[in-house]
Amino acid sequence: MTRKLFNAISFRIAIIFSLSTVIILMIMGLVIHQLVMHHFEAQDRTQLEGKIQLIENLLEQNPSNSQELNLYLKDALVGHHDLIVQIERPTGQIIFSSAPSTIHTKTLNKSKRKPWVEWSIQNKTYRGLIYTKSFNHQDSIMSAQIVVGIDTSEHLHFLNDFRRQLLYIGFVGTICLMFLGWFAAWRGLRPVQKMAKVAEGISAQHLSERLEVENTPTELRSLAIAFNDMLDRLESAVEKLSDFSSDLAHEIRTPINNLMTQTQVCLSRSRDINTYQEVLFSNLEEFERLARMVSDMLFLAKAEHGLHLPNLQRIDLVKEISALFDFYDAIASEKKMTLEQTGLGYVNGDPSMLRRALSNLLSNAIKYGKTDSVIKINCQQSFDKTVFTIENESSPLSSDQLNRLFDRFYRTDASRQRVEEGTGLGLAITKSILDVHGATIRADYHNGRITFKIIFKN
Amino acid sequence: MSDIGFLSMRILLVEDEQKTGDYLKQGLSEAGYITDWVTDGLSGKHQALSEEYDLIILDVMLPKLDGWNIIYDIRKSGKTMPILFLSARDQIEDRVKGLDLGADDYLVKPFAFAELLARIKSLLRRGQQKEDSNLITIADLELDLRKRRVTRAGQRIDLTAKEFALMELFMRRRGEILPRALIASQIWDMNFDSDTNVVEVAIKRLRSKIDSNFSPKLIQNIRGMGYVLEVEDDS
Repeated sequence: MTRKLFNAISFRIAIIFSLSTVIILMIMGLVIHQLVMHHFEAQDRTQLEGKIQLIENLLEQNPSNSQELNLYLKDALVGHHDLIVQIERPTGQIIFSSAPSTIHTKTLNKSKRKPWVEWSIQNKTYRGLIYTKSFNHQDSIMSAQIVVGIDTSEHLHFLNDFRRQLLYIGFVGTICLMFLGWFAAWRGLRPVQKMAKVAEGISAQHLSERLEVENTPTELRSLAIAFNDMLDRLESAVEKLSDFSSDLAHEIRTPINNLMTQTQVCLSRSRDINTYQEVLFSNLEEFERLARMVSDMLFLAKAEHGLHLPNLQRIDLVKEISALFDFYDAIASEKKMTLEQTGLGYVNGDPSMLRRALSNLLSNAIKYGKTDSVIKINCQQSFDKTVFTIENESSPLSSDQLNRLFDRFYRTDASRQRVEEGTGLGLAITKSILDVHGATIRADYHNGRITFKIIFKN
Repeated sequence: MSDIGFLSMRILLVEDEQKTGDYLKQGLSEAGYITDWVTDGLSGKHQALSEEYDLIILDVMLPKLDGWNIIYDIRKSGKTMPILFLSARDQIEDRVKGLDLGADDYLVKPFAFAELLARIKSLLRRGQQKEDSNLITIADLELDLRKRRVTRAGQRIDLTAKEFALMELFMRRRGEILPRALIASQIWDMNFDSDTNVVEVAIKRLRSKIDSNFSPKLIQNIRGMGYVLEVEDDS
């Protein structure tokens, strides 16, 4: 459950979002706090410096008469309860003090913030300035140290409140933003959920559904396109498969129909033994064809499931071709065909599978080639590939026919169907074997000759 | 067609499919074998262990006890007769598993009956003495393996290398019906169903060389089954 939560993109985004908010709010709070403090200090300083100015003036006017000075000073400090002033001679004699107790200037702490000094009396925190003033009076130099302080308790109180409020706002804000972030992420990820909805609706029967690319956010567009491409491929594969199934049904239905009718007709009345033998023999041929078809189909099915090549060897194509020529020699010369081989080449492959692939090509060339013609096989070896071509004279084929040659059960001429006893799977098998070997095959028709060209990559 | 050497050989057939069992038993009996047929795994195992057979034909998928288990038990009991597997499953793993367990051969359904007979004969021949002579003869035909020469009625006949190999195969397995697929595989190393009638043409040529001007005819075509080398009995 927690794992699932941590895996959710919206949750992650919310966490990142709120973490960054916390950091930003903290920095902001600190800055504001600092600014307020500075503001208070500046205010205090202006006030204190004003007072110092005043005291200096008073001292200058009444340097000796402390009675009078006291009076004036008290007047000057009326209404400033938060201010304390202490004036002392260098000797330590205190001339005036409005502080509740004597301030020992020697022991005052220098504040970290210059030029302030800080002290506290009776639970009150003061911040103040110490100022030494010298002036001429009747030819003698008088000097006095003036200490002015201001009670900062109120400021501190205010700052504390302020800090607390900042924290509170920050906390609430963070939580709000966390939810906002989660909501935004959830909203932002809605297209993904939409995609999932579409994907859920797709099955083998409904492969035509596609994701909308136009209104998909840019980030998801490539995903949507890839998804649609995958669906395209699946759709065409499924289509092929269902075409294939119906082809198969048709291919099997025809021989079965022959078998049934023939047997029924034969059984409809009694016949002599030769007729029965004839029927059985003809049935056998059909059965053999069916059996071949089934095993070819199985082979194709296996090849499509990624047949592995357990027996990979270096194969000398020239040797292989001469073995094939050996086999087909008799039947070729029946049709007065000549088999010709030129060039040389080596490929890596499974010997028996490759033999099957090439044998299908040669067998086709003999079967469909013209009587009294030449079948030419050529191999060419270069450093990165080996090319094998086989060509024979043939009746013209359109490019569409050429492309479909490798389809299962495809026959160029419907009427030719079943005249030759093939299963219609030979070239499909050849192609699938070559696919497994990473080789490509294509057919071309040119000047009355059809050429099959195989390219093996080395 | 019958072969004296193989007569009175006993074969146990374990096959649950009624029709298959029926025709196999009939075919085997007609080929001269004494055939016992049981239809499930348990009685197959019981029969194999309690009686003496020269060969066992075993279906893989059987009720009560499958072919794998039967073969395992038979081999464990120390019996060494050849065992031939029949199966509708054509997976290399199956084949390997069967052979690993001690089967001697493996046929995938559907198979040609002639193919089954040929395999049975070759399994039964195993362990028997091979003819080691350089000269094989049938009727007035002589095949000299050392000189690679064929004569009939004293007349030399020129054969190509493949025709000679074909002739040798027929001579060595005379009396056996050789299916086309087996010939293609033995002579040209074409181990798949080639849909051409290449073998037919090749044999037609061979016959024209060794049979057409002579009598009796030696190579016969058994329709739908294959070819056999034997001296024509009648007509």
